[in-house]
Amino acid sequence: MIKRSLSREIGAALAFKAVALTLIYLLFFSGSRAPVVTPSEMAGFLTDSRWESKH
Amino acid sequence: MLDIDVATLSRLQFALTALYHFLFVPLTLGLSLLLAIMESVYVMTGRVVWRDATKFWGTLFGINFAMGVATGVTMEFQFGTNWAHYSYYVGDIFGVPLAIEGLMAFFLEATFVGLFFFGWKRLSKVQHLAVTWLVALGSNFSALWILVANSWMLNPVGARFNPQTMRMELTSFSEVLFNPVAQSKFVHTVSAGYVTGAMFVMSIGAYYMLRGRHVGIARRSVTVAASFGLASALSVVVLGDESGYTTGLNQKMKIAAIEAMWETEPAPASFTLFGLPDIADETTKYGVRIPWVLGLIATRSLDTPVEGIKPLVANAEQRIRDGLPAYAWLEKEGGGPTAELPAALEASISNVGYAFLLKRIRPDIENATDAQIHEAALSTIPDVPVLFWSFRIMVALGFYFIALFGAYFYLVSRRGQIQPWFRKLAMYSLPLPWVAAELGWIVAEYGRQPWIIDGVLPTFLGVSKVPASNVVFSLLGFVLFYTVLAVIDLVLIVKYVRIGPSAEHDGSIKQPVQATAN
Repeated sequence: MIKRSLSREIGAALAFKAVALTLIYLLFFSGSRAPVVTPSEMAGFLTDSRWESKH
Repeated sequence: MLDIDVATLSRLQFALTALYHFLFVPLTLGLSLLLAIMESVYVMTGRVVWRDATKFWGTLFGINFAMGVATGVTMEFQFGTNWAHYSYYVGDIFGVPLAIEGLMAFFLEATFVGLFFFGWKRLSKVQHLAVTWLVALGSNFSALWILVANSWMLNPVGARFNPQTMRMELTSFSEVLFNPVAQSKFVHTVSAGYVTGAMFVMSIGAYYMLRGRHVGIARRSVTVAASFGLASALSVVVLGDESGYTTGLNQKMKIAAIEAMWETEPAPASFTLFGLPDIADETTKYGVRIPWVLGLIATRSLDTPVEGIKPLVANAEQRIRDGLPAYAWLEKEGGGPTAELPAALEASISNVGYAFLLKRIRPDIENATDAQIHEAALSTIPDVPVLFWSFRIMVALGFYFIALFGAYFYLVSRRGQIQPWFRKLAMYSLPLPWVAAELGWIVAEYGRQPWIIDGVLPTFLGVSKVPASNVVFSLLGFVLFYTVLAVIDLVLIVKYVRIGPSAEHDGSIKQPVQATAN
């Protein structure tokens, strides 16, 4: 009885976690939101004299 | 929309997720090993009470594991989105141990955790015991890889900068794996996890003893936890000393900041046990000092001085100047497909990370004034009071754990009367290993600032060019998610601790009755 209740509760918590993580990923971190960095972009980012500290 | 520094917000978000994830990790490390020890006793003696103890603590382990699993994935989300430049710059090195850790956590650890829970009736005693040990080993190996990755940020070895790709590239995997910082950090961290597991079992065991419930399992569990906890707490202190030595070799500024030591301490350097660091005056007031101790910790000798903050700032100033020629060359050639670093700039390129510190002050750093170079050098000083106090509280807790486990172990081994106040003390000490572990994390990682890769890349140059509002909203999402998860975790743990081992598993019922119950 206790075992079954624990399995249900953990299952529900894992389901919540899966849904929440998927939502967070889709809303804020999906591939399209990750900036693409290339060698020239990296060089520009590190050495560009127009770089601003608050970007 | 929001005039907030993206770097600060990204750091805040990462710190939040790392600190939260690290609430689960130490308990998984410690409890998995305690389960293996208890089950080993069961297999060796055949006494059912030990199997029942393993099953009960295994239930709490399962809740912690289920709630903790994948809470670290969010950090990997952030690498690509908030820390794109960091990920690009060091992904070639940092990504390898991180990927191995992911594979270990999901395939090795999770597989054996599943077998642990569902294998009691399907596996023989010895097979199940092997599975339990593999759960413990899997958890510890996961920790090894994540700490190899993390330690590379503190001591970047086995890599060199490629000006064509504008990134650090791996030159020796064995150097990364056997990085002395990683080795000392790994053993220090896992033994801190063992202390956490031991305190968890001892505190809950003490709670049952105080209420006279589940005494059979509680008494045995407390005995195991006290002895295991004592050995672990002693290891934490000894291995922490080793960690202090590797830090003294590789991160001199961090040691100086932990000590609030402004001037170089002549040999044999003394350790400040207590004091009030005064940033404005650059002194430590009311300092209580122990002769020789810092010299022994940081240099393993009595004739080597330990450098203070001021000379280290002067050294940083020189390294900024030395890095400027390589910076000027990178500005023209960096990222080009034919960029080949002139031999004359080999020494300068190793200091270009210091030159990057000037970017925080002015964009055209080649025109920086002496005052601006000095200002950039001053930025290499981490937050002295935070490090000073975090370190001392962590160390004090370490010695408290030795005393508590030692006293409890002495009392249970002598089968002496344990006073209720002492059991209460053990019970209320439950959160302290987590406090110590989080403070240790603050000392290690907050003490790394202003670097994301020590001496190589400043933190503010690791972030992505994304709007601050993006980071604010994802941060709010994390706060909401983790708050709900923390509440669920606490509710479940408290609920199943209150229920305790089920009637047939509390170790107080004789075998025939148990057989009937089954």
